[in-house]
Amino acid sequence: MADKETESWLKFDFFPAGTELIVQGRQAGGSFMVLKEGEVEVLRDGKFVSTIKQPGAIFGEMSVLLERPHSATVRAVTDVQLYVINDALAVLEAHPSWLLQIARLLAQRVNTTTAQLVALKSREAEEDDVLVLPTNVFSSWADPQI
Amino acid sequence: MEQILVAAATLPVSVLGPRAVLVNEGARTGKLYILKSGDLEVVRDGSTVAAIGDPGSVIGDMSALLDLPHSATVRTRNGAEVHVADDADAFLDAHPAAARHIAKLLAARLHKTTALLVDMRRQAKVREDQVMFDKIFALLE
Repeated sequence: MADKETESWLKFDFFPAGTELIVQGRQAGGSFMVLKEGEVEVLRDGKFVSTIKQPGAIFGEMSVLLERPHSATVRAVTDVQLYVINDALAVLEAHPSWLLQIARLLAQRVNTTTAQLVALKSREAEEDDVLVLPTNVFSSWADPQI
Repeated sequence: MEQILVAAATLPVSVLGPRAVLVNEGARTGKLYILKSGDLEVVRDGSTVAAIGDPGSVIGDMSALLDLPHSATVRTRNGAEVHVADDADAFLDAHPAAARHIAKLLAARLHKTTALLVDMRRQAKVREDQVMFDKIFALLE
């Protein structure tokens, strides 16, 4: 950690409960965070999406990769300790194995979200009234996950 | 797309004729495929759910990364040339640009699925509220 090479892009930080670590719609600034300790929640358009409490969990990586504003808000539920990785794209290019880890993590999240979507969808089909989404919209995202 | 094709150029190419199966639904191959030319279709439960025709399209990423069986069958339409990485992890480790490309694709997909999920949950909530209101009003009548 005290290594000269790493200290420019790796920063340890602490935030009290309630802090918005990432704000939806705001520019990413090329950094992402790795949770060391504590619990955060992910909110999208003010609605709860998920809780993250596993040490080592990464967030903010999507907007770094997509180079666009944050797609969700991440708020500290408890006091949190985390690492901030600055200049993330360059750091990741220099550490291909981390990129692979992030790809795996994203794949897991896609898988979980898709499973939740499918569950919601089939529950609605059972309820047999209005379908929330037309079938073609639904199949357009369901395609290339092979 | 171009970046992944540059990385893929280091991989062997498999030439497939018309209606040839590239991956089978339910099979676990650990392989990653990158379309060089031609056209593919994705078949799930017997019906075609998507067409893949852009060179550089990646097939098998979810299955390789998560060590899961393929969730669909992919076959050629008229034929295709496909780069094959027998060991997906080794290929991505050796080619950061390819890993970044795939991570980017996955991030875009996650962005889409999360948006849909939030939207569907919100609509489900509206409908639940509607049902509750209907019940309350039925009691009042």
